[in-house]
Amino acid sequence: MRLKIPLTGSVLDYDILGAKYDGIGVVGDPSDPVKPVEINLGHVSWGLVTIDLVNNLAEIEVSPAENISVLKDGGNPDKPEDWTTRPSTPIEKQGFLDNAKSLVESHTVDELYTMSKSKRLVKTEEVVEKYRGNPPNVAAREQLLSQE
Amino acid sequence: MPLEFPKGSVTLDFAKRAVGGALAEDVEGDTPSAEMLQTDNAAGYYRQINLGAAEVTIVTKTLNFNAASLAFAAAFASLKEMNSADNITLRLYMGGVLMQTSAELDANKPINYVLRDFKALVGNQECKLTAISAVAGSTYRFYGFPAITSPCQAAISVGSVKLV
Repeated sequence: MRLKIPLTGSVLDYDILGAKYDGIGVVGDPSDPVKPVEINLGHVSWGLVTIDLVNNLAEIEVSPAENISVLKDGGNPDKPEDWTTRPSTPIEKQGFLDNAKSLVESHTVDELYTMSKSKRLVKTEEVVEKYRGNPPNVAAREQLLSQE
Repeated sequence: MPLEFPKGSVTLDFAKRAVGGALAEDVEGDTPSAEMLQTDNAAGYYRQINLGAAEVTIVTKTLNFNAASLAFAAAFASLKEMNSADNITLRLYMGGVLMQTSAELDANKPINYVLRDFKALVGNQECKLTAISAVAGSTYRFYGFPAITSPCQAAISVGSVKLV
């Protein structure tokens, strides 16, 4: 499942050549990395697909957690040894995805920035123009991702 | 966790375009970040770290990449949470961009976790594994070898293919 989430952080540059190969091209500031706003999507992992520097959006591929922890019958929730980890069921996995999707899509971009207390993406017009003239080759990234 | 990358001259048929080049190897493990050393255990079997709202760097690798390199990074951690309410999330950054995020890991028992991705990188660029917890004061132990001077509870390896 793919989601688009507003970006925060600072963009240092856009690598035109690199974008042909990785489908992203964005060079972020290590001390203020480019990333989706800090919202807790719950029991899902995700990987970056591409970045839209015009609209300040990250497109991510979201996957449900393969395992969850549950409290043993009669267990004390304050004792780690009373918890056990088991594989997520197909229904639970769908629920994890639905929750993440609902969290993102039920809020506006402005609301997501406010909720997450994240600042807007910092970028220069020069970088955006490089992006506009040479958009990332997302197909190349998807080709490599599909090989995993 | 060393990764072996092939070496030698190759021609890559990449994205339907033949690209001549040489495969290069940038392979090296890493030591825990200074933040990991805050509450080192005397026995040396693990390093303990407390997480709050702030994101903490676990391991970092900075390399100088060729003008057209497609880099692959794999980060590994062996960890356990010490309080039942804790949930840890691991993140992989490449070149100042967040590339991969784990689900909240319920590590009631020790687990091993790997994050990996690829990105075009040019010049001096950093790849790193970080951790963050939604629960303030969460405590985690990263397990490794029983040696105080050379622990290896987490690692990040980076390999790159030079495209031109």
